[in-house]
Amino acid sequence: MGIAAAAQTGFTSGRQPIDQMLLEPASDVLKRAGDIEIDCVLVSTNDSARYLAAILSELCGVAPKISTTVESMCSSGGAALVAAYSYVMSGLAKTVLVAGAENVESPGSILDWDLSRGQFQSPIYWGSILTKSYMRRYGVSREDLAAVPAKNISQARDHPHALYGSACSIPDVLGSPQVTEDLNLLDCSRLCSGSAAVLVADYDTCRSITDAPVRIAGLSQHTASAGFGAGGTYHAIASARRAAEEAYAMAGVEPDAIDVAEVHDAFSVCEPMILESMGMAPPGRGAELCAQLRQTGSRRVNPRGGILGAGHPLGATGLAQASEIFSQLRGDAGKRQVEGARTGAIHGMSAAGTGSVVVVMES
Amino acid sequence: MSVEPYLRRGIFATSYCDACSRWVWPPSPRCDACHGKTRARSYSERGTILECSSRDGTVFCMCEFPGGIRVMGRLVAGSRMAGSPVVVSGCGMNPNGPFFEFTSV
Repeated sequence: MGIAAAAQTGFTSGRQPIDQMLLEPASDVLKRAGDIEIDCVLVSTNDSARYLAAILSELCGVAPKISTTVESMCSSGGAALVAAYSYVMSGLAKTVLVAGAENVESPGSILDWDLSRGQFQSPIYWGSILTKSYMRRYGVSREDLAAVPAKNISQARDHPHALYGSACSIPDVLGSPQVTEDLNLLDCSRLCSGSAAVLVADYDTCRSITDAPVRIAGLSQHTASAGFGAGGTYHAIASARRAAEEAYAMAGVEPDAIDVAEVHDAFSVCEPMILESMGMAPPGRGAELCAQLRQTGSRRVNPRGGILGAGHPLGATGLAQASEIFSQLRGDAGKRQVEGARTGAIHGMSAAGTGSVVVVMES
Repeated sequence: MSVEPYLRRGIFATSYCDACSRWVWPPSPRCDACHGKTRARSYSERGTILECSSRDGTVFCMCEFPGGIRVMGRLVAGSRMAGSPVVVSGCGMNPNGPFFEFTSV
């Protein structure tokens, strides 16, 4: 099973009709796929509009057996990929069109239910707590963490669909407006509007569409809790560790086999925490790895700029990550290309890392 | 019974399961261990600061209390160092939901 086609739209700060945003990349994917029957349409979004998967199906001129919406806050796209994989694996579908979209003012970044955060519900509050905890635990400085947005925002220059993209230095990050004691503006990803889509299909269908499909080698999802105050440490993402371990086991790979990864850098500190949780860096050494990647110009992590550089349209993010790794593993990522990349991974998380999805892909 | 009436009166409360003799957090009408019904009960144990930060002069922190209760709120007085003991010195409901205030002791 694999991904046969992928597409995304430009990420912007302007509002657009959700059905039209979904339609754009979905149509591009169907155009590339040619004359095939679509068995299932999944929509990934936090938008409150109803029956979007059926609406998208009608707009695309398809009448699938199954159509439904998947919502899992910021990791909705990854969760939709897990659902697509499951539909194909079960035999209920051979072809699944997965489309995600979000508008800039989406309510999906705040979990109203979480009483533990009281009046401090904005993501910047949990981002600050994670940052403080990580720095205290490992003796990491604000300067060390600033290497993450400096790298990712700079890398976004080569991503034509990114919301941002400009030369960015550590002094630029530290000199950007102070948001909290532990976060400057450039440490924080920003919500935006955008959409992305992929076509997940069984092996034979993939090969009938393209000579270079990308195999979904392993994937998993883990839900540690819903609330930020449910327990556990604040210097690691436990859900990412569990999801990665299971995805690696399913794929039969070790973390060092990952040539290229898109991970959920909602805040600067999230990238090193996730790299450690996914076994790509030892505990406490993730920031050092990010600094090395920046200094050497390596695109191994977040080549499209991650969320800090590309922007964060919640329901589209996971599918934009998958679209990037799809391009990387086919060798057509242009200036962002990681030479010789054969194995890639995406990681998405929701609600302060209480839930994570990891997908391992192979060329 | 919901804990909201307690919070509106400035009393910190959560759910309690009499069958398990344990606190249930976050507040819920059912126990997440035995799945039986719970009741709202005021809570006054001391906790500790897990992490603190600030924004525009307001210090906010995540505090942990016995029974696995973790609450994010505003620190209004006292040490802000991680590990410092705290009490819930204020709480209530505002239009966006509950709020909590802590004082280091």
